This record gives sequence, C-alpha cells and structure tokens, in this order.
Amino acid sequence: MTQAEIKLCSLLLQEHFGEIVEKIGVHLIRTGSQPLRVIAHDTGTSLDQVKKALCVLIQHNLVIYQVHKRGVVEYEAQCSRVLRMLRYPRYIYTAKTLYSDTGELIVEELLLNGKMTMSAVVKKVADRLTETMEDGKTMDYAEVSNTFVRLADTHFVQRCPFVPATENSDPGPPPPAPTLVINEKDMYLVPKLSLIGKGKRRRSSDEDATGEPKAKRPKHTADNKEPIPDDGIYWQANLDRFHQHFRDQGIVSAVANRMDQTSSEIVRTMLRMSEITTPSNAPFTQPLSSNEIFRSLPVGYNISKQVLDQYLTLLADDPLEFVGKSGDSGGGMYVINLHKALGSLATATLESVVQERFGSRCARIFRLVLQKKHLEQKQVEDFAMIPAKEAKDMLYKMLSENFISLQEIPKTPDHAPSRTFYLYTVNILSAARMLLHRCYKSIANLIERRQFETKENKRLLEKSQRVEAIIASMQATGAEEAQLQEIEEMITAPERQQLETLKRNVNKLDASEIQVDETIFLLESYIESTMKRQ
Amino acid sequence: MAGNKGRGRAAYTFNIEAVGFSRGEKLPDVVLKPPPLFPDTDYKPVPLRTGEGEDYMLALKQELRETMKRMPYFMETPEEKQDIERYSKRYMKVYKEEWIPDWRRLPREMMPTKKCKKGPKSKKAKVTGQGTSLTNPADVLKKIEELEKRGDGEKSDEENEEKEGSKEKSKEGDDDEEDDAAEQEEYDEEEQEEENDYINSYFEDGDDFGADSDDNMDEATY
Repeated sequence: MTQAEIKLCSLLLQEHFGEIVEKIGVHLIRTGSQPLRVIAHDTGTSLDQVKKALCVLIQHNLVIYQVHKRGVVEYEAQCSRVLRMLRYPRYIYTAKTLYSDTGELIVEELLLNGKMTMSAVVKKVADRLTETMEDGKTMDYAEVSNTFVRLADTHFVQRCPFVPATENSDPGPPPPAPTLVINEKDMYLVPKLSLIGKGKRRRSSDEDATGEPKAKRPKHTADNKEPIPDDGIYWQANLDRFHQHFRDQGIVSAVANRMDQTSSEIVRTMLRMSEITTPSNAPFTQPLSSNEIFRSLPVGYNISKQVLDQYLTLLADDPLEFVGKSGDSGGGMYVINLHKALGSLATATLESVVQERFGSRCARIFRLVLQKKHLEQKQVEDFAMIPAKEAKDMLYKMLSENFISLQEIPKTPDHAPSRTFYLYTVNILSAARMLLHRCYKSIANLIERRQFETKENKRLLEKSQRVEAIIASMQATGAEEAQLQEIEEMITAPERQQLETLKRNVNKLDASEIQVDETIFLLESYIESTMKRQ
Repeated sequence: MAGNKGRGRAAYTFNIEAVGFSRGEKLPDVVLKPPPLFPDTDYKPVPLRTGEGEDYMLALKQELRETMKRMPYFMETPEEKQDIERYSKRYMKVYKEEWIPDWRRLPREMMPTKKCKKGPKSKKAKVTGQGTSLTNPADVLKKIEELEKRGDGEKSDEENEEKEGSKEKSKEGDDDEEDDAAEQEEYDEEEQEEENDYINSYFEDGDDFGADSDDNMDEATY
C-alpha cells in the first residue's frame, strides 16, 4: 500500500468511524495481518477498545479474520475496500435511478450498517419512507420486500458468507473463530419470509429538542423480542455489480459521444443482454447474434434490421474497437471488447490530463507518441510540426512528470550512450498507475482542506446551528414574526457572508472529491483488467 | 584530478544531438532545490460538472457524513475536561443506540468477558489478603508517599486499596478483564462507598489542616 493510499484510508476512517477505529485500521493496513494482542500492544490502546474497533471494522467488511495454526486468529485489513467508502454516494444514486426511492434507501441502509438481515432492512426502510409520506399514509412492508427481491435478482445485493450449521455431536472444543462459507448459488437466494406490516411513523411528541425522552427510546425497541425469521442470514451490497454497471455506463456514454444516440442504445442493449452471462472481469462479452440484438432492442426503437446491421458494421469497423465481429452466423456475431474499451477510456483520461495540464500542443505530441508507439526526438519535431526548441521543452516536461518514458535501444553490446537510440514512448499501464497515485493524493488534499476550512469556522458554524435550533423550536411553539426576526439578526451580515463563502467552498471541495473518484474508478478498472490478462 | 581538465573541455559520452540539444548551445540550468510546494500552473482547471445528478450526490455525501457521526459505529474519543462546563452541552448530547454485534460470526476472543456478580466481593477479599503480595511493595510505598504529600492522608488507605485492586486487575487482566469501564467505575465507587460510612475527611487531615491554616495565618500576623 502506497503512502498516499494509507493517508487517504486514514482520513476516510477518521471521518466515518472516529479516531480509535482509524488508529487500529491504519495500523492493520500498514503492517498486514496481526493477532489481537499484538495490535493492542503496538497501538497502545486498551484491549477493550481494540475489540470494539475490530467489531466495527469487521461488521463493515473492512477487516477479515483468519484462524491460523495453534488457534491464533489474525486480522487483516482490506485497504481497497476502505477506499470504496468514497464511492458510497454514487452507489446510492445509482440505486435511486434504477429502483427509485425504495431501492435507494435499501442500499443506503446496507452501506451504512455493513451487513443486515432482510427483515431489519425492510422494517427500517419502511419506517423511513413512511416519515416522508403525507400524514395518514404508511409504507407497506410488501412493497419494500419486492424491491429487495428485485435488487437480489439483479445481483445488486448479495448474501454474506454465513456460519455453517454444524451438528452438536462435534466432540472437540469449539473453534476460536467460525469459518464462514458461501455457496455461489446461494448468494442471491432470498429467504421465504412473510413480512407483514406497515412502516411506523415517529410520533411528533417523541421528537424533543431536549433529548431526554430519547434516552427511553432504546428500551422501546428492545421490546419486540419475537424471534426473527431470517436470523443469521445477512445481506450486503454487492459492490462489484455496481462497478460493472458504472463500467457499462462509461462505455455507453463514450459510444454516444463518439457516434450517436442510436449506436449507444445498441451497445447498451448488447451489454444488458450479457449482464448475467458474462463474468464481470471477462475481456469480452459472449458473442451475440444480430438477430438476438434486434429482438432485444428496447420497444421504443423501431429501426429496421438493415439499419441495425449497418450500425453494427460501423461499430465494428471503428478504430477504437469497442465492438468486434467474431463470426457470421445468425446475421453476424458481435462481441463487446470490454478490455479494449477500458483501455481506450483510460487513454482518453490520460490525454485529457495532459491537455489540461500542459496545453494542446503537448497533447498533440502525446497523442502522436501514443499512436506511433516509439519516436526519436527528431521524428517528434517533424511529425508534430512544432519547432525543435518547443518540442524539446514539452517532451522534457512530460518526461519529468512521467507521462512519457524513454526507451533505450543500444546499437552495440556495451550500451555506449553515443551509440544508443533513445526513443520516446508512452507506457499506458505505468502512466495510468502514476495518475491513479496522483488522484489518491488529490483526494487526500481535498479532504484535508475541507476539514481545515470547517475547523477554522467552527465557532461560527456552532453559533449558526444554535440560532437555527432556537428558531426551529420557537416556530414549533408559535412565535411572532418580530421575534423570529430578532433571533435571526443574532448572526450579523458579515458573518452571514462568511458562512456563505464557507458553504460554497465546502460544496466545491465535496463535488471535486466525487469527480476525482470517477477518474479513480476508470483507472482502477483498467489496471485491474490488464493485470487479470497477464 | 589533473587528467581531463587540461586536455580540453569535457566531452559528452553520448551524441548530444539525439536528445535534442545542438552542440555548443547553453544547456538549461541545473535544478538545485526541490520543486515548490504550491507551484503556479499555466492552465487553470476546467470547472466542475454541474447537473441534477451531481447536486444530488453532493447532498447525499454531506448527509451521509452527518449520519455516520450519529451511528453507533462511530467511536467517540473521550474529550478532555473543558475549563468551563457549558450549559448547552447537556442538551446537545446525542443519544446513540447501543449496537450489539452478532457474536456467532465473530471470533470468540472478541466477546467481552463475562462479568460475575461475585467479582467485587471476592476481589475485595483478594485485595485485602493478597494485595501486598501481588503488587510490588516498593511501588506501593512510593504511592503512599505521593498521596500523603498531596494531603489525602486518610484516603490514601482506600486509594491504596483501589490502586492495588486496579493493579491486581491489570495483572489479572489477561484472565478476567472487565470490558465495561462503567462497571469498573461503579465497582470502585461501591468499594469507596462501603468504606465511607463516616465522613473520613472530617478531622483526619492531619498534615493538611494545620499546614494550610498556618500559611494563611502568616499573612495576618501583626
């Protein structure tokens, strides 16, 4: 794990789970798999707190445990899973676009809690939805269950590995830790539950500004001691499926940008047909015949078979090679080259970065070297039609930032520099890794800056929160306009200005984080796909 | 040393043309320090994307951040004592639900150790009996001296017992730890309260009482 990744993980854990969990988590990421006592000793925290922190991390699938010889249990942190926490808003928004509010809340609850049983999820989501509905209306459990089943069928949520039911005739002492198993076919099997009920609205008398009645509330929820029908069956969000969806989205929008709407619809149809049949890390989808594609086109699109064939031929001939032709049976067999598509997307990202950082002439040189693979200094000047001095300057700038690298080709076995060719080349994989590393650093910087801005204005923020609370409580008890006005004037105009600026800055930083994360997703997918091919 | 300098200027070992500099040209300056921390960029960044989706995700992100802080998974670090206790703090406390993990899915060592009701009593018996044998006598004596200096003369016995008790607990920590710090505190209070049938500090601050009053008297002597 690089330093940049560790720093980013540390910031994420601290923001979401607090300092203690952050300390334990970062220690595990740095040092690898360790047993409980060594963690407590090395981090200097009490055993009790280490246990709680590990429970939280295991619950959220950030740490896994393994039983080693002699019954020692070792805990290992999953750094890449910690980095996924950046992408939670994107997952939830995707669920909203596909399955509307119900789906959105289901995925949100699963992400916030790590793992949950189906009945718990359904109950909580129904309660939340009921609160947003108008008075008198409630959300039925059945509807939420249906959405849950649909999510499971399309593999967006999956079952967690569970403790196998062992017979009690096991003579030896119980193992120090359960080994969790999951079967491929059981992963999306929804238990037969008959969840009957409606969401409960929180009564307004319970909502209290003082907070004291809330202390009684935890005891309320402990009232329902009836046995949970699906006890022990936990569900989690299937992040890989979401990634597959993002990847498909990326390919479709790339085709739409390059060609037109119809071709992107065709590609989207092809991807949809291969969703279940193709594993997510295959280099290309299963071949689909033109007839099948024609039958599966969305209902609104009435293009004739000939037009479809023309589009497919165009797509297959495109130099970007998103779609390839693999045979002629059934009107032509077409595949989508997933690996090549990811490669093109990563390359486009690199080109765009070079253009925005160094200018369009540098971008021209970069694209030239990409296209021609290896070029000498002189050839670069000639092909790019840029004067020698500037070309040299630009090449060296890009070289120093590691977008371009030098390839030495010796003429003689003694590698004498005067008799060696020096060729400029772009190694996409290593440039992608370098850019990914920079992205991690960027997000860490963004988060730090946001925390700094918030800390600077902490006093002002607290004051404005107090004023808002006062206004809210006064409005609830029915106060006059004049009084409200007076309270609002407690915050002076320059302070309001400062708050506005703060809010704008924080929003900008947050939005930047989300968009850098999209680049991270692209680059990570490309690197992962390339590593699997090797 | 004497070698190449006299024989004419240093010659490049490779063909300088190949990397683009012509012969005799002034080479660019050597960089003598690390690049600046916040370098100026020639090109300003492209503005961020805006749209319905982006706005929604932004709102989601900020809400999620707030929600996570209120969940039971967020472990608060105990704050240091503030100089003035704010009145509003009492009313702004967020009451968090307790979260109990599913112990069947976790290794056995994760479970908090069982708290036995007999614990305090038997510990007390152990403390009085075995306290001194378990703990280091030199340490105990040092602690007693420290406490006497601070003036809690009479309480030193109880605090001593407490310290022995806690030291003993920390030594036996491996065997029967009590994860619940609250319960530990309760136990200590219980022990103290049991001893405090009478107000101990009433007339038994031998060292402090006279010394303090003497100091005060010094100023007032005429």
